[in-house]
Amino acid sequence: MSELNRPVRDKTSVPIGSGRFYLVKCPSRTMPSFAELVALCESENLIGETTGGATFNYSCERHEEKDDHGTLSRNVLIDEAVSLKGGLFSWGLDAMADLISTGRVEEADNGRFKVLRIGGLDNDNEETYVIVFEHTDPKYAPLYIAIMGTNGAGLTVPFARNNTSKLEPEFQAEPHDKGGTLALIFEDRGTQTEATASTTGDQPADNGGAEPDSGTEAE
Amino acid sequence: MNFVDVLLQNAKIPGGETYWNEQPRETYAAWGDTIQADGSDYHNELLDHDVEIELYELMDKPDPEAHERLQEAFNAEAMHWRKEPRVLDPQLRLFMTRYTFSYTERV
Repeated sequence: MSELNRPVRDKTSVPIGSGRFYLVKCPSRTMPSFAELVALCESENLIGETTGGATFNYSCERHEEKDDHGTLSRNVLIDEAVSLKGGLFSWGLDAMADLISTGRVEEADNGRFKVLRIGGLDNDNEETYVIVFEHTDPKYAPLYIAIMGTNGAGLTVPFARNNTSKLEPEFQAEPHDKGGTLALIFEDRGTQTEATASTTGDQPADNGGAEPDSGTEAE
Repeated sequence: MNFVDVLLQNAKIPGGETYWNEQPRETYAAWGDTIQADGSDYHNELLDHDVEIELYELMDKPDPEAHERLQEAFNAEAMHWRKEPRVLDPQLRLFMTRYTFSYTERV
């Protein structure tokens, strides 16, 4: 049994608090390992400071068939979706470009102007991102929500005299493995002691939701 | 110098925050500021100020020009101000008019 540093949440836990959004391009469309996802959470990949926390949303659609007498029925899942919505308090043009698939940042007039160009369907960069929301709590192990996807909500940027101009992206998850996994939610209990360090179970499973398959990577 | 003090200075109205040792014998202002820290979820980048300025005029010597100067000072800063009805304090023999406005300070 491994000795781990931080307690995980259980049925007596009361989660509270916000977190931070980290975003990296993922041209390989391969979900990084759990350790790599945690390592992504550094200032270089921070989209901006969060405001209003984040909202994880799982939605599904079910279909029910019943016989004419209402005695037999079958209810099956026919669709599901995951999204991760958040508010960004601080941001720049580079962050906007990551949130708009036709956005591209360039410089003009020998660097005098920094320009974000938006629009033109042919300019869709078809980028996919790994988005990690890190929720830290001094009482428990940090909790991570990781999805692969893009901002699917467009952007509305208010400019008001008495309020800040927040960005509120909503990242829509895409399946990131053969099993159709849409999101990973995991806790980092900390490093194992050297005596008990294990080499197993460090990668997201790529097995369609069966038992964890150590060492495999999601596609 | 505090922003409200600057406003009053621009309006040429003597005044200060809340407390006076001695009742002035001229038009003057006393102000208070309710401050709410705000910002992102892990920092306070903003201070939201809700300011009240009480403009006092001697009952025997009303001073409409002071109101004009104060409102001009507000307008020069594009402050959206609110003026409440003037009330009389018969004991102090003063008229009081309350002005309120809000602004956000980046820290």
